[in-house]
Amino acid sequence: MLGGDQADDRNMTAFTEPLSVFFGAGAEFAVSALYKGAITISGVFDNGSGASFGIAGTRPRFSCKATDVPSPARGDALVVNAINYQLADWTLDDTQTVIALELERQ
Amino acid sequence: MAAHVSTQLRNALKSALTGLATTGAHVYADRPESRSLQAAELPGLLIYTGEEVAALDSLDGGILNRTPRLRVGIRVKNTGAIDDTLDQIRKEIEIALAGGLTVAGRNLVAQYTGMSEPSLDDTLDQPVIAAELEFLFEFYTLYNAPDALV
Repeated sequence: MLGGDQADDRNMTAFTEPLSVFFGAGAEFAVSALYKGAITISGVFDNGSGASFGIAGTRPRFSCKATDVPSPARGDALVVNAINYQLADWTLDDTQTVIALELERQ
Repeated sequence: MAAHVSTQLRNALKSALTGLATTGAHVYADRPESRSLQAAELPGLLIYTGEEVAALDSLDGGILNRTPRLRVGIRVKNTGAIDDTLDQIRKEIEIALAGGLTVAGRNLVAQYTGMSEPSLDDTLDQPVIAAELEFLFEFYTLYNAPDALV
């Protein structure tokens, strides 16, 4: 007879995360953004305050489905809340399905 | 009674650096480093009092030779050639202080002694750069009158 953890492992089944629930248009915390001047994408925009070397600023980041930004490149334009940004860097999460775009305000 | 010569020197430095082409009125003394410069305060200059060495300079012990150092912090945040902006500000500062500072009616040479390695960071909404310039001054005061030059 299997123990609790082993039984749980055997009963686990793979499933597909419904990312649109989090990042899709109409999702509770999602906003629309214009990517490269032509593509409307939807995701979660964080812009928390920060400081570095005694200089205040924010840390803008836009998280969305990786399939919405299949070939990111530094300098790609993104307009969020009517503010122009450029893509400075990006990271994929462990599942490779969510991409976080680190932005530079223009 | 006049303020300590250190205060007079710092005030003279602030006055000399106010109105430069790139940093304008964004010159701050007596500002804690934890109080970050906001967007409307950039690019900015921060004035700090540095180390001072003093030594007796007369047989009767009545005169002090003083060599205080003042630091000027440069803070820039923008896109583009941020190193070039730093260099432009350095140029304006060095030119502004080339003629020295007038303190208590005397001209004091502002000897540029160097700059710290610039610190760069790109984790904010725009890249930032920070560096510190240091200037050395030398003058004499009476041992019991640190508010006047001799």
